[in-house]
Amino acid sequence: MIMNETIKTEPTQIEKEQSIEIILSKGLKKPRSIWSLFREMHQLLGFRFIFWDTALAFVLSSVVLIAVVFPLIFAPKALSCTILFACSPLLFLIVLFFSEMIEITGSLYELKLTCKYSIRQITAYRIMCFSLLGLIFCIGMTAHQSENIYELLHLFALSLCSFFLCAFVSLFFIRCFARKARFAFAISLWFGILCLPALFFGKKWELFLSELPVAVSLGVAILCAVLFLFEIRKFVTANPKEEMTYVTR
Amino acid sequence: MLLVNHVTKNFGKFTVLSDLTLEFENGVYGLLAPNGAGKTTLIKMLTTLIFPSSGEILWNGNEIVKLGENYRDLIGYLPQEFGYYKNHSPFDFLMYLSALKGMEKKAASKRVEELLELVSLSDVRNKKMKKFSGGMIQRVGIAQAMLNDPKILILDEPTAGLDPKERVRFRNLISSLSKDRIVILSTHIVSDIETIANHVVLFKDHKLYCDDSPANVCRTLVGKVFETQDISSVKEPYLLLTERQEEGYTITRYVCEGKGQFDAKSVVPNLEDVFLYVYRDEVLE
Repeated sequence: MIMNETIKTEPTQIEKEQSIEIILSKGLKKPRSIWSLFREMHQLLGFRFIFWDTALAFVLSSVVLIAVVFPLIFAPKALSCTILFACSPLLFLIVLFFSEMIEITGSLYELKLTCKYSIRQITAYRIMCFSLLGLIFCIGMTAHQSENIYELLHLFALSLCSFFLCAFVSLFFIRCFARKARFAFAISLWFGILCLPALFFGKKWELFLSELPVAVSLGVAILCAVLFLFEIRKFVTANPKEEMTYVTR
Repeated sequence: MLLVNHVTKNFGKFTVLSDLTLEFENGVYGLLAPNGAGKTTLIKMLTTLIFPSSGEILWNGNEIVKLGENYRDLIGYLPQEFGYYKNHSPFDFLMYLSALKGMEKKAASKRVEELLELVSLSDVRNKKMKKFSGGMIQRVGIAQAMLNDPKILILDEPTAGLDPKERVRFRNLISSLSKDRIVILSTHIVSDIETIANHVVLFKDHKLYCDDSPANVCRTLVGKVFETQDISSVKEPYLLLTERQEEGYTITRYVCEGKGQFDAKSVVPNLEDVFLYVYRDEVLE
């Protein structure tokens, strides 16, 4: 009788596995995705606190952008691809440069690194927002330069290619270099990657860009966009090299 | 429990802290050492601003860097140079920092009001901080460190630059906040620690020199501290500690490994004596 009861109460393999699943799900916390972190931050902080103290950066960016881009818009049509390729990531880079330079040199930077939502995570969220702003800028630039649907598609692909290429490379170097000047370095990268070829090769560069197939530029854009998102993911976690800012301060 | 386990910190070839092992449980820990001894380096490691070159820092058995925001949620930190937004009121400033600390708006508002009351800044809650004195700013600093009711409160030189009245007020405030939490207080001002710390941690030559109660630390010099009106009559090698004026005489306090002089009076050593004795090379240079 006792033997029978023991056999009856013994759990089946499925029950055992289910129990293990329940225990594990309660005991282990799955790593949170960056999107859920951003959603949580947005709900708690809102745009007001995420972009707290960035007004000066936006004012400075607007001034620089007007000074640089406005004359280029009225540049000759023969250079449209070169100009679009060079200017597409400019808004993103300038806003990022000013907002983060002001942040890093601010007296609250160290304290903000020790908060639950550290300034690293907030910067990653801001970069996402700046990239959306940069994409809108790309659309505006493309629409201004194109005269028909094919040209629109070709220039938009070129603009996206330039934007994500520069955004990815900049973020990679910003993450890898610990110095305060890393955001200024991103600007020099933009000049090196997107402007120097135009200066060196002149019309050949324009020809190359105008004949670049849409599939190629879109392919590069998608690849760089994916790498850019990976870089943002890495940006959230602490960078051991960044501690050098403490010593060099 | 917070455990610093065999931690060494190098900056290039320079070793700031060597093989440091410390355990922190609830209470006030005073890190006492001259400038440049590695106090701030330890504090920056405890706040995950910098990382040990070797060894590990554990909170309840888990490495603090791996705990990430779960660890940051446990700490309250007042840096040595506390930055603030001059054009904001303490209320707005604390609401901003409470959001960064993951607090919901309603709970944060209540907490900010409580803390402003605690640090006696309720009257000026909506005034711009640019008009505040150094003491008032430090009180805003301690309020922001307490926002998330931290299990670990880390204060780096919190009384530096404060006048004596503000310093006493600040010490009382820290003392009242030290229940049920670890308070780590870094300072080179002995009186800050003497009154409120349960543990004194001394560093020497980039290593841990001692970690004990103030009474036990003082006991190391029992029978060795003397006072005399005539220091010139002291024959044995001695270390001058302090001098003070009393009824027209200059009373000299000194440490002597021997018996002192016949007219010298043996006195009870205090923490300042120990500090001056331990750091005689650095302090008396």
